[in-house]
Amino acid sequence: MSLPADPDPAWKRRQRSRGHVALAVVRTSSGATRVSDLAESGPLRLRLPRPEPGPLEAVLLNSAGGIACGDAFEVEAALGPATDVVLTTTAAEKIYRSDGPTTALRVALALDARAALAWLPQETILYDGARLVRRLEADLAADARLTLFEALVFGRAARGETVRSGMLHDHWRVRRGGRLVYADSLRLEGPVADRLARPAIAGGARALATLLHVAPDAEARLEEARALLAASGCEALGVEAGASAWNGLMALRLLAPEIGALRTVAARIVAGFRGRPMPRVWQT
Amino acid sequence: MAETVRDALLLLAWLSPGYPVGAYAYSHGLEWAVEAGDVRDEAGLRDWLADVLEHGAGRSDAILAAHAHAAAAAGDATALAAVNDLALALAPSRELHLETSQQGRSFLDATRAAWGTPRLAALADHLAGPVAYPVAVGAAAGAHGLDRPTVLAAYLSAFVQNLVSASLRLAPVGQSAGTRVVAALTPRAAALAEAVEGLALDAAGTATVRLDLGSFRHETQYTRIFRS
Repeated sequence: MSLPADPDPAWKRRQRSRGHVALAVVRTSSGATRVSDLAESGPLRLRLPRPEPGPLEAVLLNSAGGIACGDAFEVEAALGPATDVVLTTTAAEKIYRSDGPTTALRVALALDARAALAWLPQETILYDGARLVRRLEADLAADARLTLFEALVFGRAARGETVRSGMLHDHWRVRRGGRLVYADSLRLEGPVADRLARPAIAGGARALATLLHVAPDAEARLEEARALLAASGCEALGVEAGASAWNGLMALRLLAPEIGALRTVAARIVAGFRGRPMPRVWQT
Repeated sequence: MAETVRDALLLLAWLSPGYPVGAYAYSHGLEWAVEAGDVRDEAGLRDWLADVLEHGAGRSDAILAAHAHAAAAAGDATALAAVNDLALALAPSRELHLETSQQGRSFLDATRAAWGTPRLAALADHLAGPVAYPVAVGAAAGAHGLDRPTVLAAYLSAFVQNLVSASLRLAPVGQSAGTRVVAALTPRAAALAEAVEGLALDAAGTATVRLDLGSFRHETQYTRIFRS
């Protein structure tokens, strides 16, 4: 027996939340990176700590505390020539259970000549039943430098939760000089935890992360990245790790039984690779 | 000759292990999976290959091949180049990029030389650099007007057969076990070919993250007989 469709389901009556941040930066005559334009709307905000030497560090804050189904959040960053920026988030991003609609996240990054961006958000946590479509697009000048780190966690560890069912479409597209050089579309649908248990998919891992480095020297840094992996203690922590480089980029992946071990290993590797400590928000 | 017979004979030739693309040199991550103990026996091989087929490169490549076929059948070189750019960019590691681009280039050159038509030549001229393998097969099949669902089913079953051949050389299973795996997965390849028909290019993608990671680690595997 099939039930008639509810003409007025809960999700249709709810207020959709729209969050948007658009940041633009330029390089000043003294060589520092300064904000030239900033627009914020909805629950998304950008915190700019007091200027310090080195890259401009900006921290995204979601004042709603999490993202419900049907919500749409968007972050745009435009880096002028020779600017240097680190973008991170105040906390892990929570994607709540859906009763139908999907959550939409979009990140659009544009890097002008010789600009450098480290996109280092904290992890995204998918609750059981979450439905998320995320799109990350980066457009780089040929000599720009982009370091992306993203971690995904399936279920809330403290509750022993698994994502019995859900949906994730995670699309990354990186263009250099207008040409698509890297695309990744992770698609998990239906019985997510059962799928993650399969050896070709995640071998039972519940946390996964990717570090992608696109820069003129990216391929030359593969051995360094492998040495950082070997020294990260990943094996002792049960984290599977590997790195590869091709087409002017370097990719590194981590699979872990839980987020704690993954964060520990990732922080060591990312800090070592960048030659700088992780943003302060990561260290708490 | 009936059109279905002609289609079948062309696909048998193009997707045969003897076609000069060097398919025997690639294991699509299977060599590492055997090394790591993930594939030890017939059941393990069948499960691994089922996931590669339905949640990995099989499904994703079938979508890319379908779009390449449609673009070639319409003579749309710009759309074909866009499918090729996406297919190459989706290759998740150095070795899997080599696997698809080396076979794709070889396939297109060999097919153009032996089964050249003005349409295929015009399209191939627009694919001067690296070509992804499913795009090369889809483009040749589209230029020759082959029935698309048949092309996709043949492509997917050849993909399975090639990996089963690789597994025989890696020795986790014997000949009859390998043949049973082919028999078990062939209907699933056919069902998948039907399921991807009409999907948007945006539906390409995979869930096989650990296979990708294994492909990274295969680069430094101590002894290996495959290039992927």
